[in-house]
Amino acid sequence: MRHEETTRRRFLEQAAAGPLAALGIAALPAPMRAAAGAAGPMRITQIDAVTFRKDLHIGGGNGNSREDGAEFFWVRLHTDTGLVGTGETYPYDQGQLGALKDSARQILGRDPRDIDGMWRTLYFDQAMRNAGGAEMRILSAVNMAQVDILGQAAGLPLYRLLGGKTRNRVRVYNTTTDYWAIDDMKMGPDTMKIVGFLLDRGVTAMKIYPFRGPEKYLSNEALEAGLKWIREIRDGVGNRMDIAVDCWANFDFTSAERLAKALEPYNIMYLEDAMLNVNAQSYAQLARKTSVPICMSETLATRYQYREFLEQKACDVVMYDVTWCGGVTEAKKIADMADAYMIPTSPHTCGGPLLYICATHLSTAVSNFLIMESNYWKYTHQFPHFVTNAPVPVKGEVTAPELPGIGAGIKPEIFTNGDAIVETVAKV
Amino acid sequence: MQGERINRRTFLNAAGAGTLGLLGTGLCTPEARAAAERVGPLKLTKIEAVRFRRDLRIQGIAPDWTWVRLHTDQGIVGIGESYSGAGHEAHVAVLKAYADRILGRDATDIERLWQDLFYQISYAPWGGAETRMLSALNIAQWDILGKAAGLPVYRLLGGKAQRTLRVYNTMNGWPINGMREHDAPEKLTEFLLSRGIKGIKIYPYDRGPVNAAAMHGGTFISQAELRQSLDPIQRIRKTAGDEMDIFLDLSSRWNLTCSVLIAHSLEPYGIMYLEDPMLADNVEAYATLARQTSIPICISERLATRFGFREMFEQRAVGVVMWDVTWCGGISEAKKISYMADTYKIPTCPHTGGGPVLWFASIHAATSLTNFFIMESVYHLYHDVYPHFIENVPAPVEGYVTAPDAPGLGIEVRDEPFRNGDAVIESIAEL
Repeated sequence: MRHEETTRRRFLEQAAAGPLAALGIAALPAPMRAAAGAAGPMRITQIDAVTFRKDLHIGGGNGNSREDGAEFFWVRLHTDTGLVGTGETYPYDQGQLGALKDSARQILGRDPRDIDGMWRTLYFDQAMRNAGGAEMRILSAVNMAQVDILGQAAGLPLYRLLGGKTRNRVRVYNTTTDYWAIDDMKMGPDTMKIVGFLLDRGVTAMKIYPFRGPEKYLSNEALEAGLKWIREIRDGVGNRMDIAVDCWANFDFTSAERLAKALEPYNIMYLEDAMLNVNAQSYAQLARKTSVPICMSETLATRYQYREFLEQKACDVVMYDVTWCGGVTEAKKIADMADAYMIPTSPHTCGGPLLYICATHLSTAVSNFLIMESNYWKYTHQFPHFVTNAPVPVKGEVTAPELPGIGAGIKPEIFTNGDAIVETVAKV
Repeated sequence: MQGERINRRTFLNAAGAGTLGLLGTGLCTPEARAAAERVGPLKLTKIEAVRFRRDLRIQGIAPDWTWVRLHTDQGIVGIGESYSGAGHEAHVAVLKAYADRILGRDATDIERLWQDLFYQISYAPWGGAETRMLSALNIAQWDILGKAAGLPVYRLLGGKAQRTLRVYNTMNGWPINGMREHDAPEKLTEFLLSRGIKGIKIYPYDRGPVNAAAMHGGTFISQAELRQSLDPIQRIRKTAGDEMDIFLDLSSRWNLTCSVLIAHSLEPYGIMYLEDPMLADNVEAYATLARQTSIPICISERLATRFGFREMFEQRAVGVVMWDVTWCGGISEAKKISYMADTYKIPTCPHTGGGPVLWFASIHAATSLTNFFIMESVYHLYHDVYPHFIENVPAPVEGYVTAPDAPGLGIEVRDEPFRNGDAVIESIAEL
């Protein structure tokens, strides 16, 4: 980190001394001038995997201690200029560490500024035998680390590289589950307490998981039990609280259709992942049959997979996960493609802190934005354990950090106190 | 699960007592009845990965496949396989990540384990190393079921739809006795014909002296390059006339426009199919190409599961289905993809340019297919490479290869590579 400052400072001094002015670059605004020059050629010299100790317990009102640590995974790219970029993916299940080792030879030695070129190399390689899985998660993390490097080299926050501010503030909803709970409160017994807690803080939207069927079938009993949560919210606070319903891809088409129909009277913001996202025709059918907006899905990756869902009018809201979908640049391309269909985006952020911050940068920049996911336990307890700049919603909205790159402010102490475990995967 | 087992056992006992005779199931052969009886619960107790020495080269080939061995409490061990050009690390890591969802399960509950793992890997964008290991596990389960039942895998898949399988020979980077497709197409043609092999797959657009793909990165092709690339095709035709069927692989290097130009230039040459001109990640592009050429389009071992292939069928984008049984989700999924293709009157051509378990598993699966077209084979692999690891490699005779009749996949793995350090067993997890 110290290196970055030195390099940039030195460059600015040189720029002031005049050689760039002779090239006519003096015509550019000062920040851009600094950016273009500072981001000179560089080379990736070292790749680290960063994992976190398994027995880490963060605490703070989490209802389930198994989900109480760090489930994410970082990739650090070092460069010969001293700049270090950090990318992220999750869940940490060992698969990505293996995939990172397998693809290290494709990454090492490359110029990290060649973002689309690197993406093409890594994507083509995996697409030769069915793209996705651990390799797609690694591609996403590497891409994030690259844009972090570029932002640092340019001295610009990530959202500036993505097109600048379309909006100053990003509206969030709270994802409400038992395991990442607010002060151990549970939906059902504590529904209205949770709703009150969020509204008090200006958070006026929430995502809930009311429906569990036996297997892929949603029984009438399970349907009624889920609707009861929604009725309680509507009866209690009317339309002050927006409600999104997520189903974790639990149902078949037949039950998904019944569920959507049953939700129609309740002004649902969107219905997410009612089925596995593996058949656009089934989703198109569902979308035709219900007035509830259909949202999908962080389980898709790359423009190529979203294409059919958009063409077939199979979704009303595009959700992407920047640490899964192919990275920051691919998320931007997906959002731009959705915009051509007048469809807004709603980024998935229930992973690590870099995911949350990058999604904030993207949501600041894209023209088609609906609302972003957030989780109270994560931004008040989990993320601050690792970074200093995870934005906390103010009046239900977050703003992107203004520091160069992702600007997460990764805490140095996690590398000395044993929480973070660094494994150097490859080195020039 | 326990309940089902007891029910089946009880049912079979009842059958022995004569009840089934009344129901007409008496037609069931005694062997099949006995086989079913033998297959009690088979609990998965241990998972191993087998990888090969990093610097091992067999006739210039690095064995880049990973084997998965599943052990059961009955002592039966099943073998599966997958591969990637990148290495073994992701495979081993994925197996470790999913081991606790596999151990303790009944190896013969093939469908349910597939569903559970697929649902799990679809939690994030599915594919990649996870899908390859799902494929390997599924193959190992079929091997176990066959061994337990005393039946070759093709029998469990519906028996023989054809007695033996017509093959073509893929050249790619695998020369035969030093002969390569671009500098010795005449000699290669004669060599293959002398062995009764009447099909050859070549790569004129991304190998050899022209290599138009490398020249422009797949974004452009000139008229001169289009003409020069026809050279090996014309020389094969000149040598063998129509006796040699020609298949073309374009290695997914091209955009749509170049793919159309290439297809048009090939129209007069009676090409059997054009395989993977583009990456298989946009069906509309393939449907457009298919509408603009009379050459059947073959896609693609790069796709996995029925979900990956569905739109290809619906959009009439495919003339021949190719799957790789170690990539597409395993034997179960390969069969389902082919059933789906069959309803569209589309035939199957398995991809086999990987390791020996892929070769065996493809032969079993293809033997049972009603919509079989022709199968890939690689002389250099089955003649030179696989025998280093396997005792009984099926080799084509007069251009046809036949499935082994031993139980399961019928693979006899040699001890030697395990003794001399070529093959390394890594324990993944154990009950």
